[in-house]
Amino acid sequence: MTDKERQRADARLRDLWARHDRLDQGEWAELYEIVTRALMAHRSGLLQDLEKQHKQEKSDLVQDFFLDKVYGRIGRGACDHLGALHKFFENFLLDRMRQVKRRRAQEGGDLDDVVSIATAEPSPDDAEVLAEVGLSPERVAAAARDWLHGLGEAQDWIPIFLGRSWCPDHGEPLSRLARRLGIASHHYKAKKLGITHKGEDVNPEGFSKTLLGGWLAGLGLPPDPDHRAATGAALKILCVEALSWVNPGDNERGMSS
Amino acid sequence: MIPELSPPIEAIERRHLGLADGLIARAEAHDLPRDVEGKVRSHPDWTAYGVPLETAEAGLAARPLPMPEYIKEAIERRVRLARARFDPPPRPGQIVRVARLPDGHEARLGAALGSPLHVLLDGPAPEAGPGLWYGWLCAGETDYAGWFDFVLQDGEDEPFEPDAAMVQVWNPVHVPEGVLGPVEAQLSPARLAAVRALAADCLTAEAGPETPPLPGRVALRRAGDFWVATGTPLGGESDPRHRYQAVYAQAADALRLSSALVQEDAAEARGRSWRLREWFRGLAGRVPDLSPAPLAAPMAAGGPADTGALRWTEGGLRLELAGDPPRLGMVNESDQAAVVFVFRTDGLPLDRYDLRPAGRLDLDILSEDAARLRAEKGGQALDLELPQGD
Repeated sequence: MTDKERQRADARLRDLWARHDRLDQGEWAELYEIVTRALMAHRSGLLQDLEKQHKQEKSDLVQDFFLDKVYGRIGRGACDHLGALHKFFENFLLDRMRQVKRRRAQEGGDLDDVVSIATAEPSPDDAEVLAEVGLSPERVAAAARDWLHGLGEAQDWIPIFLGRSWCPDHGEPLSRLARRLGIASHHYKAKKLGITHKGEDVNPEGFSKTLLGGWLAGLGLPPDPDHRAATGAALKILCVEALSWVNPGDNERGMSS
Repeated sequence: MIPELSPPIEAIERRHLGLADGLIARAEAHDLPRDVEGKVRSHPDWTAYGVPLETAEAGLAARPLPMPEYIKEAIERRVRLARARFDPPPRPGQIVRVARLPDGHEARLGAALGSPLHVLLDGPAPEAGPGLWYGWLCAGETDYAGWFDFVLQDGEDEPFEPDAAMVQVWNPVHVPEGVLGPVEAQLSPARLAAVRALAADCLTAEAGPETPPLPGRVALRRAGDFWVATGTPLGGESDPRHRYQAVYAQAADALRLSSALVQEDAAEARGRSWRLREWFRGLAGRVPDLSPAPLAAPMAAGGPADTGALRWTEGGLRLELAGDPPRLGMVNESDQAAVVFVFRTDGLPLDRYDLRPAGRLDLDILSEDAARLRAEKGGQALDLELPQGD
């Protein structure tokens, strides 16, 4: 890189960084290009440790940095040249390393009072409450499989949301999952699916319009207090199906959104 | 295992309570009060975060990373926000950025905001202090949403700043109007009413709800007559949201302390006004040359009309208090010029004013140095001992 090229890149970075509030899409793309080209050339012991010892991908770190420190406005200072950008990135890596170390220290510690939503295995009690409304666990499981299999390509995020975030004991937070897998509008989709709450105390009218509400209605389970127990049992079974549906080895990137 | 929330709590702590990059930049630009800059530079993390890289690789890779969909979508949100036209601030329902404390407050508090904060404005709060607004702190880390965090919704609340995507109704603040920066979102009256309903619930909640604590998840629930999206209730000590809320409670303290300074200044101004009025009321009794005089014209709005006016008959000068904060007004009602001197406590002249016929002079006589006032006209003189300043 010649001095002239570096000066040009510094000037462009300084200008785009300073006008952060008013950039158009083309300028954002240019800023993304400068940042990712600069930081993919970054080398440091800290980065090496994160990559080798903690299995963090450099490209993920660079993109996380872009979202957190370039796209996000909080906690950023002026960035007058590529060297400052590298320093910001190094500080970001230091934050990340501190996080990794803290999590290591916490490993084994449980959130004893933080529980999951629908994680328990369906029990004989569930079979009873389903029987009271004319259903069986087998029939609900078959309906769940049919529903999951019948989802179109545009809805391929649904088993992911259920199997990775909503159903597991300690599912991945939805925003992180969506960001990691490139799923757009995750709040909207979660609302559309009906997983913004576990199904108790929900607005009956609103929930009946969600995808889960529709699936439950198809089983003859309206979201009212009389069917609460059966609804809970049906959702547990759906979760079992969703968990078996999600294969951790899937190539999840590039999903439609 | 504890669910991992994003961004990491360490990064959030550094932004608001630690050695934020913005604070480092201000220290390097000497854009902080000297003692604050000293604190920044002596921070235990300065060596790690503040010292420039000696071996920074400042080159460019051959190709940029391809832009993933989620970054494209985030950029589209940012561009929509940049195009939005909001009403001029401040107005109830607006989310505004607060980048710095009011002028002079950083030096008085010996502190500065680590990073900008966002506040949803509920309304002006003159009862708390002049120019203060009441509102709730906002933040962008929706993974950490708790039972009393109002999570903004794409369809209803857009465009909004992603760093202000939830309203912490558990974290109310007063903010001086002078620091209410650019508008980052504007909630509809109905949505503001929903926030207020949740805030009312927060104030009146007695027992914890039955909903289990689920960090990283959003719940749809009732608040008054509204459906609102919030996080779930906080769990026990190991719930990472306790640490998160402690960060923002402490970050908001900077605004609370700044508002307290505004209240303190207002109380001081009231005290000064009272001392000045008491001094003026007692003047006629202490200075034989002065006598009560009718007011020549209605007092200015806000002026202390109850103090009346005095006349120095021999010199043809009328004295009155006017304005808020009050100042000593002197009107030359004669056809000869007068001269007014203000002397310091050590007897040396501080100021001199020529007062022409029909001319008017308004003096702030509560300044620290002013001790005595002397008016001269046609060989006559009026001497007044001035009230003590602070």
